[in-house]
Amino acid sequence: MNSFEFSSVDNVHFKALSQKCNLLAFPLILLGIYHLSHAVFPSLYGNQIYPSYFIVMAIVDIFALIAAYFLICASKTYSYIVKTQGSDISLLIIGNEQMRLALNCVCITLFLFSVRFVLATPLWNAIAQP
Amino acid sequence: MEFSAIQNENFKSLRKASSLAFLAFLIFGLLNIITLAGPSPSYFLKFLCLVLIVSCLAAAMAFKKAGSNFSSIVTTENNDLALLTLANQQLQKALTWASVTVLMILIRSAYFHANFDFVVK
Repeated sequence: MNSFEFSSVDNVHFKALSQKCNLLAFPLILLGIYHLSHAVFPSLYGNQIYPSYFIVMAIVDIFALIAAYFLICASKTYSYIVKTQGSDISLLIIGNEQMRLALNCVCITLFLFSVRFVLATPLWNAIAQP
Repeated sequence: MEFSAIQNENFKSLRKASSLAFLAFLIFGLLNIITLAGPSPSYFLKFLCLVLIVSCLAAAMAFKKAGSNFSSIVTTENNDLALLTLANQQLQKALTWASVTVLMILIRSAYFHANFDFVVK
């Protein structure tokens, strides 16, 4: 099993999966940097930031950036499956583990976004109905 | 081809992560329906919200299908490679929709911060 090699058709799928991992990592990095700049330098944007918002957003940013890191790692591992020979199964296991960690971080990010959403909803309504 | 017990454990944990991702995207998508249904400061925000909901729910469904394929790899025998390919394809779809979701969150935040005083207690 250790010397198992995926076929060229399977390799095409792994290459596509590797690209998709990068596709998700890029907006996650942008989102993390954007919100982190908002949370750390609120005066640059002329907004008033309250502690609860700062804490939630700082945790969201950290998990978004960690998810992006694991996605890039998973992308590299999946691309090694295509490039290297003889250790495809062990690389698949490592890639799956990195993907699992990335998905867990994305989940935490989304759950915290949901919390932030609940925090922001009364404000949203106040803006819409002045 | 049949994966070993250790490899099956790996797929099992990935199935759990996919199920969790399904829940997270579903909850976030459903929460955003409240925004779409309620009053909004602009139509552009409503449009962004609509795209966000569609991408969230599509990602959730793809994660659910990928999870069930990973589960089938563990439970069935002799068909693991074909199931892995299917799971792989569903995971690709899920990641594509997830990237659209994150991009929409980013655009919405930028638009909201640029046009309104965003203050949360």
